[in-house]
Amino acid sequence: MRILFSLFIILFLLSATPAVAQFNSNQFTTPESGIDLQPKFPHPGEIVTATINDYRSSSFGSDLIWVLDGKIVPGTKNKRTITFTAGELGASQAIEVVLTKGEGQNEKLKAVIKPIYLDIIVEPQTRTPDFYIGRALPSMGSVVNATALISGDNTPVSDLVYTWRIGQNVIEGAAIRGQNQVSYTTPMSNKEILSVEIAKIDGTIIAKRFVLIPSVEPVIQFYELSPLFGISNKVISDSIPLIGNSTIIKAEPYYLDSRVYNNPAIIEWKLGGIVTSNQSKNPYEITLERTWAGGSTGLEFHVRDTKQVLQGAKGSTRINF
Amino acid sequence: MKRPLFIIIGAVIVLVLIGVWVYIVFFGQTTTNQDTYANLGIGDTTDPSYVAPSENGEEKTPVIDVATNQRLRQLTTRPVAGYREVKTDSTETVLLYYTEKGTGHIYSIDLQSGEEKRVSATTIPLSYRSTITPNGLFTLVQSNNGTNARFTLGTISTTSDILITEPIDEKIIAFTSTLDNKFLYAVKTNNSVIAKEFNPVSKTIKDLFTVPFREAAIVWGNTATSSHLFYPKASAELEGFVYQVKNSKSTRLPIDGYGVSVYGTDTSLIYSKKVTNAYKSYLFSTTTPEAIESPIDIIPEKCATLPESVTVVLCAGSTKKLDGTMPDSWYKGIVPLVDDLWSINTTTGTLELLSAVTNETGRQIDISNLLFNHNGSRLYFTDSSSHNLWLFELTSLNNQ
Repeated sequence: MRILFSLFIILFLLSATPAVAQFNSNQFTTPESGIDLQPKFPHPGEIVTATINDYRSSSFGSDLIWVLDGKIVPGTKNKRTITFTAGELGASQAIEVVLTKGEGQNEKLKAVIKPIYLDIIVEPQTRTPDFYIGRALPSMGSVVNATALISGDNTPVSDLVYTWRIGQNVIEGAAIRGQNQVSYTTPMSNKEILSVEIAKIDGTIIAKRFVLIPSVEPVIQFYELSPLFGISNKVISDSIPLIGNSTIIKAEPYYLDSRVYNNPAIIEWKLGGIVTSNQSKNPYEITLERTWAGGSTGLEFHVRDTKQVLQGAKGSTRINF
Repeated sequence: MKRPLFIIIGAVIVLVLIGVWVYIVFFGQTTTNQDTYANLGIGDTTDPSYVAPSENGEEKTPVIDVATNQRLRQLTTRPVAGYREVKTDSTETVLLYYTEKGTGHIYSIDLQSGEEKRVSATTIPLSYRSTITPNGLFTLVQSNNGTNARFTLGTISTTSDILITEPIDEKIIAFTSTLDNKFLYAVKTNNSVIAKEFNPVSKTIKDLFTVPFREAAIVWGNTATSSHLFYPKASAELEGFVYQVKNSKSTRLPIDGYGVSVYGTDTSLIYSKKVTNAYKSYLFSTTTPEAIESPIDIIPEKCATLPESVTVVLCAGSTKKLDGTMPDSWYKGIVPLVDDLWSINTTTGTLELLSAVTNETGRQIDISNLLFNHNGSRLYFTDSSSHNLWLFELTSLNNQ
């Protein structure tokens, strides 16, 4: 019985496949060959650099001829690197290099590009006034919405897999199918890389892009407000003369997190260095009335969040009576 | 002091007072009975200098100078929320209609006689922005701004100065009127912007196209069926991309960059962007593969196209180089610009100075909201500081 059991064990061990069989031994002996493209996912009309990546001994001494969409590219004989212009939006291009060995044998290496646009549209959720026709900028801790738009590939968004990264961190922890829009919180750095990689369901990467996203400090600008005409679109730079009996000044904290703008922990006006009780319904507005005394006084405004203390700004100007 | 001196001074004062009294009694003349009230200095009260408007709000004297043949003229001293040269069915006269900022009152200016008439006396408080259809029958007015913004459709009466108003309950972010007397407007949704066409006669609304993001700037075409442009609002610190919509289909144009904004027609565009800490403008035509650098750097929001031309763009700008803080610093009102008027051919890059505005007017004008009349003979614009309306006549230029 003992002999039978030992025989069974020996047979079982012999039937196991050696682990080495999982490797392709050719990978170690034969280098991978192909064409490297830079950029890998070009825009229409972009200059693309193609480099032959072939260090096999079998191709040593071969003649090289470059062929783009079936036509020989002039002046590229035996060049290891060439440049060409990417074609129209969504139109595939085949770049080939023909290796002719000494014995007259030909070998082709091929790459295909499909020029597309991958745009990352960044929409920071921070404050700008209504008359400001530009885009807000992110500030530390504020939410940023990003949208990836592909032009030149007709695959529906729902059939694409998006991997978003802010810095090294994958947003939402993994690649997500159909998610061309994400939100993230602006990290604590002046600039951060936001990237997106888009693949088809079979894993083929069709586009990759990264953008540098700035993070700025919120900044206060003062504007005069008319009860009839609304806010002036000209900033009060250093000082403002108080010509009439009264004036309304509005503080605009550009790039302040919208959540802090709507619910600030600290919001105060100082006139001549003294905190004033603001009677205005809108805490970002203050009504100044002329006194009999002439002269000049400082006007300061401060808004801040107490949890995220970098979410805040101070600004000052002068009022000349 | 001695007592006699007091007596002498007292006697002199008494004699002077007696003399004044005698003069008033015997030589004084009666005047018109005019009430005098004490000024208690309690601030703004009813303005005693108010002059009631004449019948129909018509001011008999011309408000604009029509005697001289100036091609560049200031049309209003009132701040203007919107304007349009209109041609009504009732008269052959071409009138300029404008909406007063703040009140929403609509005025017409007869450019031949220079007379101004109030067309609508209906007040829309805090009127901020408006547009008027070319037939002069409808207006779309934005009052207040931000989250408090309200939108009103107004039907302009030809027989009275009452505007029939109707609220539009949508979160409109951009609007315009078309050459075929309709309105185009864009509304924000949770993750997109939808552009719509609104017929003010039938009150029907039709979706035109969807912008797949929220912070969009739209350059409207002349009609709903024309091509339109959209792009993420410009910022010198963020990358932007330009898309064109034709027949509800969006196409990405080969225009992108930091701070990019654009203006143009179906085939020819002018765009500007930040390039290595400078702000540069480019001319792009769909018929030529590559953009060419513009001879001057301008902010595309300061441009207008001639209605009949596909290649000529008129822009306000100067030869002064603009730095990499543009366009943000202009949008914020930190850097005011001093503009002249230029004609730019987007195909050839040819530049022509139409008016050295500062030399011609003696005023430094930061020009915005340029709009041509129907045949391109008159260009209207506002001064972005005062919001006053100005006129530049191109026919005068052609006659010279």
